[in-house]
Amino acid sequence: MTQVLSDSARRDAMAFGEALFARTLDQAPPADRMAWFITDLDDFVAHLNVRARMLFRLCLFVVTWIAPIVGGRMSRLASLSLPDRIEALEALERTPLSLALFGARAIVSLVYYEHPDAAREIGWDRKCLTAVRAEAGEAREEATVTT
Amino acid sequence: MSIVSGAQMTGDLDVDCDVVIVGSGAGGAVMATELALAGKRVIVLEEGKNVPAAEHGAMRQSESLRHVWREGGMTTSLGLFGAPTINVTMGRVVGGSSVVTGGVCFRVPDSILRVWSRDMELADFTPEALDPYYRHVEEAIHVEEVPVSMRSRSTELFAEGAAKLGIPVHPLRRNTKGCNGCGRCNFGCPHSAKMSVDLSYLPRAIEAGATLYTDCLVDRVTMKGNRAIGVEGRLMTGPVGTKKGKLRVRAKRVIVACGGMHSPLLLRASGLGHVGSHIGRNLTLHPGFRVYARFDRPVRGWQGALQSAFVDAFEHDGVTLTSLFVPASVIAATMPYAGPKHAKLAEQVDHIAMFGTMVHDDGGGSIHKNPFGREPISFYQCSPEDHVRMRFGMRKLADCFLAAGAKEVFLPILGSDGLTPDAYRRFDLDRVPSSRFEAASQHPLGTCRMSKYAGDGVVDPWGKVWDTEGLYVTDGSILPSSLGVNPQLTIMMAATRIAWRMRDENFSS
Repeated sequence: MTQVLSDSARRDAMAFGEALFARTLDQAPPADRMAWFITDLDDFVAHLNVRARMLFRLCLFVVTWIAPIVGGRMSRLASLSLPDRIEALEALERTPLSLALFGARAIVSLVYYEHPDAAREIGWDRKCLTAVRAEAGEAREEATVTT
Repeated sequence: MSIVSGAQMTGDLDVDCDVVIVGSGAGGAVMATELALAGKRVIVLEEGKNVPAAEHGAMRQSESLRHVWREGGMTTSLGLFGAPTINVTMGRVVGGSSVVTGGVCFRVPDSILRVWSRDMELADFTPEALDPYYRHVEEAIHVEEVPVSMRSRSTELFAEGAAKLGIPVHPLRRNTKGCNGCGRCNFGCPHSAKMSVDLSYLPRAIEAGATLYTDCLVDRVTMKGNRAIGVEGRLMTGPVGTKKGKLRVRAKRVIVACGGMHSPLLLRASGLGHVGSHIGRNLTLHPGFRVYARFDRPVRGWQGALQSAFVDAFEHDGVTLTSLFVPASVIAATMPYAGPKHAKLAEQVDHIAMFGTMVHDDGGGSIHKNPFGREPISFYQCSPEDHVRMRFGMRKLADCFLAAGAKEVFLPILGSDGLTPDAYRRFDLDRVPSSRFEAASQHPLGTCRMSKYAGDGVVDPWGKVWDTEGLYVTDGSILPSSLGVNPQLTIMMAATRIAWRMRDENFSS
């Protein structure tokens, strides 16, 4: 699959993702995970039709350019420090433009949290009921044998 | 006869048949099967691809959005005059949206049928008259009750709270056979346990001689005077449906079954829809809202049937409460803030329970041609009663979860944080504009509604487009009003009713 997000759009998505998913104020998520995220996000967008791509780009535009302004800084989101990016996004969330933030966040979160490490961090084990019951059954059997 | 990939065909597709059906979802698949079994030469044209169960199982949820859902799940209906903007999800795959539903099966509530049969004068729409069609479909798709043992912990917690408030919770019925509760219904069943129409109907249609072409985009119905004589369009290829060869099918009957968002567009593109026409109007969506609740102990609501229980105690208030669960990544996406504060909330997804409310709406939306692409533009409006119903449903959900001991509830308001029980009691939901609600829909209905009189709708009570010959619509767009419950079963019932009448017709004219 060829790259459909431009280099600048990838930078904007990366800056957004780093701020959104940072677990501390001084450290973005691991670089290899973010690289996986950007590659998979690009594949996601490649499968969208023109309108859905435009909608995503519009949401990303609002996050990239409007969030910093709402946060009191005349700069692109990617140019801000991590704490300032986080502050800008939270400021945007309090405005009527939060729908655009929600749209962008929904897509990047869907992709990001499918990374096994990201899923593990939020406790998403992705097990189904049958698997859990089977494990519980095996555990009970083992306990019986031990007894 | 078989499934033919339009993407892999070279040249054009130019064929004749008795019946051409546009769309292979709940309505189209039933028509195809019933008419093929009656000996008619049937061709089904589907815009999406054929995705077998093994492929569903191999996909992550976001990959399913890319390959199975229309527009990656990003279709929206823009809210006007204070209405919420609503995410409308639909399948774009063989089997249509039946592949991405939770499999919930309801008959139309009697109260709605009374409105149809009395107020709208659709005399045949009584519980007794529709029963044979419903029973036939329920047997074909194996409708069964979801056992209590299949409920997720999320649903159990809601039911515990509801019991404390004296609200009865009933088991849902779904079209499943051998479901193991993996909770992936919305992303295509990986175990072939959900009896979506690609499994329950289309194989029988193909066995009876029907041919299904995938990757086919129909641009217009070919009309000769007021008679439909076939369809024209394009074969497509590639991930976003790049147009290639031409498609022309000549038929004695043309069935439009593209769903509530696309059927009106196809009719309009075919020269129908004069000024004042009902085509594309009267859109209802059953706007749905979820409420999350955080509990002290792990819930892991993704373990168990995606949808297993419902509450109909508030049917007369215009809301149905139904169990649901969305992927943990989606829960995390709806958590507020960014950075560490967001991460802290996202880390609680395994402690989150959720339940949904669906509004029996009577507001009127509309569908319009998109000048810049082939997906429609849609607008949605609410009636004053709809605004009240939304809040009523949300409050009931929150009340049940708090009664079950939830430490916080998260209302479906953009950017809102969790509310502790005390904060919730102080919170004035009436002051939040509906436009700030997070809303979703899987049920676009009514845009080609049926009517007893030509001036009141788009199709007659047997699905035939008024003032035309040989042209029918058989999907959710023909339902005369919103139902307040999931429409899949009713769409299939309506298609069966139309097909049984059509199969006895002489197609020579």
